[in-house]
Amino acid sequence: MNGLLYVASLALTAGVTGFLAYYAWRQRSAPGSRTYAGLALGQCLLALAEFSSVLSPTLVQALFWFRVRYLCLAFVVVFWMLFALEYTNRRHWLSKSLLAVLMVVPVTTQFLLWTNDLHGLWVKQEVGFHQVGPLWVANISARIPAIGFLVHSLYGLTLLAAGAVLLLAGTWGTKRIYRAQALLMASAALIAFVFAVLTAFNLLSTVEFNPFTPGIGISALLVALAVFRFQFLKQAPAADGDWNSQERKLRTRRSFAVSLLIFVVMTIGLAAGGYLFYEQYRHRFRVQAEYQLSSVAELKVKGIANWRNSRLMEASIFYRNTSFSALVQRALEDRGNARAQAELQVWLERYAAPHRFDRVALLDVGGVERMSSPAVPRSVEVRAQELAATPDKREMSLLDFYRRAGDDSVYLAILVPIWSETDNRPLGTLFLRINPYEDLYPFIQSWPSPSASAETLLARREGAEVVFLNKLRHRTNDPLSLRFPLTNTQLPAALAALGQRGVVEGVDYRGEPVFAELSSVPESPWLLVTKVDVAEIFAPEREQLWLILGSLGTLVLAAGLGLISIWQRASARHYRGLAEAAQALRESEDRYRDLVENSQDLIFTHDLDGRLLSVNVASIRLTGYTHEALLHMNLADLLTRGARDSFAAYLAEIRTKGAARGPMRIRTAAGEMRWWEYNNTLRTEGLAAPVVRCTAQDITERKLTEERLRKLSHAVEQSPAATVITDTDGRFEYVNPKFSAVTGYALEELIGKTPAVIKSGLTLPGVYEDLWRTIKSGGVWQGEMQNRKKTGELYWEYEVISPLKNEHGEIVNFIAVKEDITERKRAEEALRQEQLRLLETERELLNAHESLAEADRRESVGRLAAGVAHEVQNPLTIIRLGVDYLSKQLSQQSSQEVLAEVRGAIDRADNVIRDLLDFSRQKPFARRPTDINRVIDNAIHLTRHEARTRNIEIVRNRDDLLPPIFADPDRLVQVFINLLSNAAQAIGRDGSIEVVTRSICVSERDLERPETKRMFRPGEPVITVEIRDNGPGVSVENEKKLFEPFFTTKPVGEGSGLGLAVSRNIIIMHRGSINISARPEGGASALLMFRVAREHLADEEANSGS
Amino acid sequence: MKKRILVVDDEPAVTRLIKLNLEQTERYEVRTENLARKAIEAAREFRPDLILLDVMMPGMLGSEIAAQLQADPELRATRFVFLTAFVTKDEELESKGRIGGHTFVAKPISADELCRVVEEHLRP
Repeated sequence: MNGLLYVASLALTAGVTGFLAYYAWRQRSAPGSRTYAGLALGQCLLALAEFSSVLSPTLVQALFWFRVRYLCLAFVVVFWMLFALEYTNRRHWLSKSLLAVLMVVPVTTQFLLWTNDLHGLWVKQEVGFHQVGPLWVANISARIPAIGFLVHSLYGLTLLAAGAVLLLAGTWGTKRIYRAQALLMASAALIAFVFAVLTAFNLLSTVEFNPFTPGIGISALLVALAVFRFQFLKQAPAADGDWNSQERKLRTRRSFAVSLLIFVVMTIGLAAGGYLFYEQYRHRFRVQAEYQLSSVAELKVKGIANWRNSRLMEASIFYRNTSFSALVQRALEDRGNARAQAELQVWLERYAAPHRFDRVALLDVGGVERMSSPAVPRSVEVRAQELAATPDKREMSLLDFYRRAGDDSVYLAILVPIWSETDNRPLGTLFLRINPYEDLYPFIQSWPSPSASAETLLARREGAEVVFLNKLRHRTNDPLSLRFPLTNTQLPAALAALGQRGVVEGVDYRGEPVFAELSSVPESPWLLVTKVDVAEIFAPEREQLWLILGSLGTLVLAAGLGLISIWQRASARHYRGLAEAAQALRESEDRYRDLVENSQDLIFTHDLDGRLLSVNVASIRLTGYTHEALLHMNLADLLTRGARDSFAAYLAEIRTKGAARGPMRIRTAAGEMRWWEYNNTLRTEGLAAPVVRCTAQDITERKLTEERLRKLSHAVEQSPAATVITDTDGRFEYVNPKFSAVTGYALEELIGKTPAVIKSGLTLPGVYEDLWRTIKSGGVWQGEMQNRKKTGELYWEYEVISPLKNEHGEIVNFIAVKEDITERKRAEEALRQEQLRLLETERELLNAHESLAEADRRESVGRLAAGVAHEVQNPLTIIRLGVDYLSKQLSQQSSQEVLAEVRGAIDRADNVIRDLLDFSRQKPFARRPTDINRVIDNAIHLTRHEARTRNIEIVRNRDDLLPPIFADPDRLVQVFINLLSNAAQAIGRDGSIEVVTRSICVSERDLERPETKRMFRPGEPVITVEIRDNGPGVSVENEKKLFEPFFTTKPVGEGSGLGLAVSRNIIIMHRGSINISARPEGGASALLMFRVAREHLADEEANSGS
Repeated sequence: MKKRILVVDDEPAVTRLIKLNLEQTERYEVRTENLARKAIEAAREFRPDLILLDVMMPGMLGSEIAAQLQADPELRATRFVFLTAFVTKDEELESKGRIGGHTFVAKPISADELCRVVEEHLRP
């Protein structure tokens, strides 16, 4: 029945652990599950091995499977340790080398186990098996563990305990579910631990079966409960992120305690196990020793009794021996019977020696020695004589050990009374003396096995004393000389004399602790003390004790060292952490102190009544009070009188809400009023009295700036001038309401867009180029632009655009202030028309009396011209035709030459007259939209002949996209021909003339020229024509005279002096300007400016609009 | 047969020199008239192929003579070239030598140019 239960428990264990292994492997993603799978698999295999061992058909196979258990067992504990580490996220504690160290003991165990025959280090005695029905049951109590087993067991137990402690400690501060898991796991480990201790130290010797494996089964059942109840193997604290932070918090504080706990538990476990083991071993040893002692004692008692009986038997030959008594009667009573005496003497002699009697004597009834052998007279002791003289003594008696007076030797004697059978009276006594030294003492002293201290003592009680009867092993004195009082109960002999039997521990005559078996020799007064020195008996046991202590000590030491190293590492880390933290704290504190003290902000504290508690340097500086003074002040004292009224409200707010912020007005020591912006909070935690932390900034400047900015902003917002702020790419960042009002675009519509949205397309591209060039180079641009409103309506604006620079001088924004000048433009246009009419009038006046002198001259010249022309041309005609006629008549060469010179003179005169006519003649002025480029091209075409003959290159540098101008092309051609011709004449021969046409806006610089200034306003879009030559240039004094009629720099005969005057007239009629100046690089430059034909376009616009 | 050319100018030197220069070519028969009011008469009488007519003459302008010539049915076909001293170089350039449909020659004119213009206008 018991056997069946055992087998069933093994099967159950294998089943449960197998399931756990499978289950853990399936959940292997959870931390610790893999190692737990290994652990459970090891347990399962262990149970299966045990199962196989129990059911083995032969003893050899049973032993094999029994050994296989150790293979599994050895690694299970390592897996357990690994599991505990992994489960609690401490796998990093184990390096690879440390893992290898963990495996040393299990591997060594295996080596020892499977090679046990060679060295016998495993168990001194192989495990015995006994058969119970079909089962081979290991009799583990039969074995005596050796050092290998001991180390293996203690190692396993250590790891088991350490793992359990680790598990509990590691999950202590975590979620409940982990605590429950760990608790169950630790309980399981504890059960396994208990069963392992019981088995290893054989503390359950009464149990028939090996309890270890069923113990694992129970443990596994608990684990299974953890699996199903608490999600063990599905969730592990190591996988829980929350655990990590909590663990980190607790680790430092707890690590030492936990380590110490582990160590203490381990040491206690080891010490307890070792002690239990030692106790058990000692008990077993003692039992064995007792058994041995008892056996010896029994042997001795039997031997002594035998000896005594045999002595008595030998003596009893004479007792009631009728023939001997008859012989004695004859020899004693018949004194003369010599024959009888001789016969008796032979008897005595023959008997004494062979029967190892020391001496044989015959005493008569009076106790007198009558005969003896060896025949030494008076050899019979007095005591014997007395006994012999005792009447009616018919029984044989033994004279116990006694000391002979003469030789101090100890003897025993047997007294055999000799009675006459015939008349039934005593005849005498036969004295048979025994020398114990001969055989008894050696027998007593002999010991069945070699022993250094074993001794058998024979003693008897004499009154209140006990007397040792034999020769002592450890003392050379004579027998019967050593006696001890019975009160000495330490003495085994005394105890024996007092009637105690069995094994006792005591102190023998030498004072040595001994183990003694007390027994008595039957039918005698003799007490037998069979004793061995305790020291000798327990010598091998002591050896075992040292072994245990040694291995225990080594393990504890190793564990201690491991603990110390772990702890040192942890504490080193801890202290390093502390040191770093302290350093960091110092630095941080220093930083914060520095920050607070040297902050430009005011930082101070005050209590709930406003009394200042601490202030920083900035506070002192900004209030103007001393540190001392401030600390005796209330915050309210700093406030201006007006602000003081709300101080109570401030305190109340701080008190109730814990924070307050806002501006406050204070008065400095110097009486200056300042604005502070404070942001204060209440601190209560960790303080007996709450403190208000205050930070404040002096915002007086900011307030003023804000005020100024607010005014400025307000000004911009309310400005009647449209204001635009763009980024450097021209994208709108801000437009003021006026701009929105003007254009119809809201700010939101414009953000991120460029002013392209308001471009009308009527502004010349060159204007924009000029604009960007000016403002990007940091200059201020101003000019007029025609833009388009959201409604599509065109409007004019005058813009001043300036770049906005940051403190590094980089341009960050552009600001355009625009004035809607549409009205002005209209007025201006009207004015312009008026001006145009005026100009027309002026032109007329110029003809008549613009400049009185010039007009007069001009008129006179005009009048003159007609007359001169008529009067001069006719004579010239006559001369010419005459010359021509004569040249045909005169064949002489010299005549021809003279005639040619005359012809030249005629031509010059003709030219003068014609220029005069040109100047005087006023043609009707017809303006129309004109492409200036075509006019210039035409002029170049007409002067190309002259240029070619002078080898002058005319370079055209033109802007093809010029808008038309409103001009009379015929007049302009005349101007350009004139200018080109002048330039060509100025160059003389070999040079170049460059004609540049551009469209620009009039700049301030342009207006430095009086001609231009008279005609244009800044920012007005114009078309310029510049004719540059590389001739001799023009002097400053000549510049002014260039346009005066009849002024010429040409040699006499080449120019009339009217060309530039006419040209200027024509240009003025076009409301343009002309300037001729010297070029810095040499040569002269004629710069002409024309208004674009905007009037014309605007007129069209107006016409289409109306 | 030589082409007949009537030259009308109030300046006798001018008419004489024109006559000399033209007749020097021996292709023309030239008659001169220095009085404007006698020009029409001279033309009826002379029946010229071409009349060279000074514009500015005392008593009668060249254009008035031209108008009378045009009005006369017999002389209507007669071609004429004006001579004038009041033409600027520009005007000459721009009008390409024609005013009101009639050719004019700016004084002072060279002999070669005179011959060229005359030859040009006598071409049928």
